[in-house]
Amino acid sequence: MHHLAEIDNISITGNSVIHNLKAVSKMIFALFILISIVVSDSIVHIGGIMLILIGILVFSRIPLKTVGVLVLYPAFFSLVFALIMMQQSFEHGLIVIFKAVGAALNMILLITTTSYVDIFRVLSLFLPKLLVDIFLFTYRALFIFIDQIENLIKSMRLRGGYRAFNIFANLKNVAGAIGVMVIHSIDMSNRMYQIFSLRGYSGGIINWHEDKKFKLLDFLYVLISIIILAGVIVF
Amino acid sequence: MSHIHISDGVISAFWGLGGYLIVGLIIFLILRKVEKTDLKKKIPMTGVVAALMIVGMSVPLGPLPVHLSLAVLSAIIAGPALGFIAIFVVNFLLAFFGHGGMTIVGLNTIIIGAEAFVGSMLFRLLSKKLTPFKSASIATAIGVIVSMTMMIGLIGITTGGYEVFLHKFLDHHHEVEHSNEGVHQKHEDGHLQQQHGGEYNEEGHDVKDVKFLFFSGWTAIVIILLLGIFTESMGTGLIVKFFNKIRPDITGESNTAVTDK
Repeated sequence: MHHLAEIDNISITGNSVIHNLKAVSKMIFALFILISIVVSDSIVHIGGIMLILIGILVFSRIPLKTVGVLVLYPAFFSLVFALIMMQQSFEHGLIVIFKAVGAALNMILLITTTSYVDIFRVLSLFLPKLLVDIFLFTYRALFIFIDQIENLIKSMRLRGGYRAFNIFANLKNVAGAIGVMVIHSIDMSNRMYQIFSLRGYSGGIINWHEDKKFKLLDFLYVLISIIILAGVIVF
Repeated sequence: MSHIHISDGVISAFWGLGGYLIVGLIIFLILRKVEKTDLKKKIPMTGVVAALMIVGMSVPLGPLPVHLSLAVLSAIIAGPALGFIAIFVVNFLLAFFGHGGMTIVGLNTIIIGAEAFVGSMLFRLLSKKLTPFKSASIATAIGVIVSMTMMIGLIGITTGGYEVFLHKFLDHHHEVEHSNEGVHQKHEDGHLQQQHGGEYNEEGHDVKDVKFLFFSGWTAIVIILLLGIFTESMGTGLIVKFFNKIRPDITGESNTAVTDK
């Protein structure tokens, strides 16, 4: 899960044209591209969209190594379904993998160029406040846990509590480590609630406000996605 | 573990939309209840539990090709309602990494939510008679089986997987019949065999290609699934046992008469 911290860093510190676009325009772009990938049944179309996405990732100076590692997940998981579909035809199977990888590339482009907080802010427009709050609390707790679990596993390894082929012992020790983390986390969440209550929390940490105007580039970015979607539907 | 995380494009978008609608309705009802009751104080905890699920997935377990999902544990700690929301949040956030499709978040949530709901309810029931470890392990195992069945059923219905399985079974059956009836029959159906045979041999892709350790094909898949059930149920059981020793109030087991040694 260290990728999460890495992605967070890339999205916040990145300074490309795409990074500077508004979150709304990037989310609309991601939505249209996702629809294009889902509705398309052509390897050429999806392959073309993937090339465009890779091009934008390169243009945004996103490390392709990180992207490659992340794309492995959907490629691996879609393989099971692809194998089933390949019994109908090889092309069907390949389309399943292409769709999974293409959709993942699309989402990765969004999160590597837009910070999570900005995404939550846009989501707060149409999602219940409490739900957006849970997203934020999750996001906050994640970074605390990532450090904790890394330290705990490091200590476990140093003390001989983690052995590659002793699955039951590993499970037992990992369960203890997660247990400690849960106890800390519950105390942390109670404290968090008390602090928020003192500050008058009644749901709704993030409020929608837009400090940047929709510029020409934002329109262009959205337009590209509309053209891609239209292209997929027409051709 | 049941969250093999169906990727985008595997299932029709209409099914995905249906999943979102159902999940949206469930979340709406849960949040309405939360706003009216003192469950609001559990909102930060729901976020914490969701984060815990994501972190739990990243913990390496040696050579096993599975990882913990802690869905049942989340529902035991936060309650089935808030646990369901935590699962939605986890699926949504993971979809940004390509770990499950964005269009399938609703369906994945229903599947894992069912696991959490069944598991946590069974835990409540079993913990009155069994030790926390046993009750959590059994409840989780049953929960995972429920979600796996749902997932396989869903994939079967939406991708025509059943037809493929049936087709494969009939094909196999057909071949056996051929070998029994002799060479002449084999020649008569030569065209049909060539059609199917070409498909399998030319492309060479099949479930038989799946390999794990010394096993391959369906045996490997079944072993991976069993390992998943074992890992998840043992992991959850051991964590609950740990709580019972240190903070029994977390799982609401402070008044349980039966305890682990």
